[in-house]
Amino acid sequence: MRRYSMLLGLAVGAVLAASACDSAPGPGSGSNDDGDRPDVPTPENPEATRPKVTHTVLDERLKDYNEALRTASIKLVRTLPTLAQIKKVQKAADPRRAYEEELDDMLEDPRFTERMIKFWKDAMRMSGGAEGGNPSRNTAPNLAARITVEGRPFSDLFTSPSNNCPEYDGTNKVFTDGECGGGAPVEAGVLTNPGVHYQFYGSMAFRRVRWLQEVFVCTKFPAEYSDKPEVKNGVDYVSPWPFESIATAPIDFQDTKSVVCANCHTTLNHLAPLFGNFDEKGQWQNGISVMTPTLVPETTALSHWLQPGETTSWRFGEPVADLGQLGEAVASDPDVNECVVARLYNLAMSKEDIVNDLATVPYEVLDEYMITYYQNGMNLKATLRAIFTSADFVRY
Amino acid sequence: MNTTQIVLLALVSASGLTLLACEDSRPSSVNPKPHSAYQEDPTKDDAAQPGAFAGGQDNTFDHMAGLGNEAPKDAFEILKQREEEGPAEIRTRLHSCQKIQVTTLRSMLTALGVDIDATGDPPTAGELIKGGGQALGAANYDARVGESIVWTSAGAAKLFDIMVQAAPEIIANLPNMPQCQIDGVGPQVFDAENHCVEDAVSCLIGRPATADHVAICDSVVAHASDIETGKKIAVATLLSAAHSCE
Repeated sequence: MRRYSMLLGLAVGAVLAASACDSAPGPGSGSNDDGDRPDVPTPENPEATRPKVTHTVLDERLKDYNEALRTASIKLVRTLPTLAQIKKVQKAADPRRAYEEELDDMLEDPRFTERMIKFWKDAMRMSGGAEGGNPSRNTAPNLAARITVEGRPFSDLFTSPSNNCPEYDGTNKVFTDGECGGGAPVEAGVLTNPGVHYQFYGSMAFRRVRWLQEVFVCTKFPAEYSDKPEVKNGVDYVSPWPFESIATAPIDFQDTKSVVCANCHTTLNHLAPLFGNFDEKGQWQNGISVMTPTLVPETTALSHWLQPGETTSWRFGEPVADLGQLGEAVASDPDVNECVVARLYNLAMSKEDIVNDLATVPYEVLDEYMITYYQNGMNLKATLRAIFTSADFVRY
Repeated sequence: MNTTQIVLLALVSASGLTLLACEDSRPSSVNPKPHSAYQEDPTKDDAAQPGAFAGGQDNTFDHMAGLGNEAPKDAFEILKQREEEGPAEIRTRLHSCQKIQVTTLRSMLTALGVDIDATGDPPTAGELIKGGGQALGAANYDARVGESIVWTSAGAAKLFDIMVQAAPEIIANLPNMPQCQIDGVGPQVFDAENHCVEDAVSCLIGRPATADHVAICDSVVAHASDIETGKKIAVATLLSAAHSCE
């Protein structure tokens, strides 16, 4: 919410400023009222001299509820609308209302549940049943889909203490309850899901941390930037963490000869130990069960990640002692909540991948859906409905 | 040595000379060699290489470009694309074109009367879907890769093939499909004069057919080598054009 408080403050400030300047000539109007000031942005004030945009391609779009019906049907229940649905919206006196009735039916359709399972499989990059002693890789996407279709708070995905490994009964179109049984001392939604830790097993648990970052924060590492970057060994160090907080042996994470490892690894190394006890099969063990890729690989020790005295953290200044606390920290992070809403928005508007294709959504577009999301208790289905009924979605 | 062998030998020699001549030329790229594992001492495996894990231009730890095994995109190419698309606050509010998902394609065709499990020679639409997963951008979860969102040229071409193969079944079965029925009655795709029927076109394209849609459909039928071929091409054309994007 911290960014929202700031946004509200800025919005109020902007309204007041606009009121105060109502009668004044608008800067950047292109009239050059104040002499020879060019109509191009300057580094000092990039917005002040920009010509006011009065007409964009957005104004050329037309409202089309039948087109919206087709897109929504394909995206939410993975089939075309029936001829009866098409005609209902086409002939309705109030096509918006007719479209929204059909949309609401789709959101209650079992095919929507299956679509959400697939959506989360693709987002989480995992699927597959349990076999050969390996855990199911379906249960984490199933949990996310269940939270979505049941209208539960999205935060449950990281904080739910039990019943975190549901299966989906495709015959009866229902989720069946299931405990993960991975052995973690505390259960925390998908953060303790054995299938996740099996699918993303890797050296020093770094791949698991990347999964958490890229799937749920929607950005690659580096994840944190200091307000005051420093120069270390002649190169830029941008992380807010003390440079010396991470290990130098057996791997020198403070190395700066090629790239500045610490820009990413200060965050990575404070997180990875939390996932280190899950073994190659995704089962929690009493000791660290991932390997350090030294000359002869060895079981990772805490000192391979961090300097003595350092503790695990979600972000700088946000220490977390265990996966339960990590789940609370992740669930309350504004970036995580913006990420999931942006993913839903991109699904609706047919955008590319938010991480690999940098299909990010600017705040001014996302904010109205963030308000819906928070006002409805982090309800993803309500947020999806808001997106699919938005002015932008129904215009083509 | 026969003539063929002499020609081959000459070609091989010429290739060798060309390679030698190019040996000292400057690389055209800052990273001209494909990535290979660091190998200081080829008699030992990677993990036992002296200095294998020390920092250096050629031997830093192998960091994956992404979570999965897909080829990473060039950030500058993405930037160029975004610049072409316009300001973020404008382009993000416009619908883009997302690939039809494989399951969607399957269920869409099934609802229009296609038997996805049918087999045949040439392959049926169902067989093309089942055998064309890679071209259609299906997920590869073992490689930590979700289903593709965007088309490739191969995928789009495959979609058109599928629609062509699906067309005869759709023409035959559409009137009997609940997807296209109103009060239990479905439209024929073509009337007795071989004109396209508006309701059938609406059902095929998932939106109300305009006069232009019907006219295009009629035109395709009329201009084909024969009427039956024209009908198949017309249906495949409507489907391909309408469903290239979600």
